[in-house]
Amino acid sequence: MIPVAWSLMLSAALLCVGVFGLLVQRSALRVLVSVELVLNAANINFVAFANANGKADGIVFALFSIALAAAEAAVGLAILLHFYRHGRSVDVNKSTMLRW
Amino acid sequence: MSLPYPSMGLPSIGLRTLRRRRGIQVWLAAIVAIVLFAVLALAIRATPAWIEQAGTPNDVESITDALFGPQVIPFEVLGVLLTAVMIGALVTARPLTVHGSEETSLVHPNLSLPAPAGDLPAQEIPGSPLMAAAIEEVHG
Repeated sequence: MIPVAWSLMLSAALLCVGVFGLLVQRSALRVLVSVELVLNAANINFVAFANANGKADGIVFALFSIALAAAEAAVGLAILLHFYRHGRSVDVNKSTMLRW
Repeated sequence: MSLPYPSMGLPSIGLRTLRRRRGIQVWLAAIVAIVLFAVLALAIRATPAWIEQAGTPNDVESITDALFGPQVIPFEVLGVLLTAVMIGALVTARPLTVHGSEETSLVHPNLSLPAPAGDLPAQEIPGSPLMAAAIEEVHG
């Protein structure tokens, strides 16, 4: 069995990659992918602790989290599509429509 | 060469300045990510070893027992949430009119591209009668 610490390290690395993408990327689609990376890092934690505890509750939580990530991606892509129709661009630097 | 910098509403700045800011942004983001990973790794290393319990969480039976047992209410709520999200995403992504109609005037002036040549009439996207009536009301 893989030790929990290794899973946590993998999760931390994935989280950092996601945070880096969130801070650097300018395309809204790539920002959305970075958010998914962060969510998947949390899922790895859920599954790792579920394996360590010997209970399935963590895996069920991960399933819920995956469903929530799908919902978030659907809404994000819809907003992205709307934004592209308005501005003909998906550059987040240009998304000043909702700024106070 | 100067470019508008739309994110802050500032006046035009040079392309070289824009590239330098981009480079600084990438380096700052890399530093933040590395520091974050270092803090997390140190915290993981400092935590005492997890005492692993014996169990079979990967068994499908235990997952279904949890999903349809104590977690059945969140499972149902999640189904409702996904349905609402699907409807919301469809409504959000649905196009009202095509280019050349009055709705495109809502575009921020910094974001709009020149309209295509020729004055295209507003075209209705097939949809509900209610939406068609609303579009008809807008366009007279």
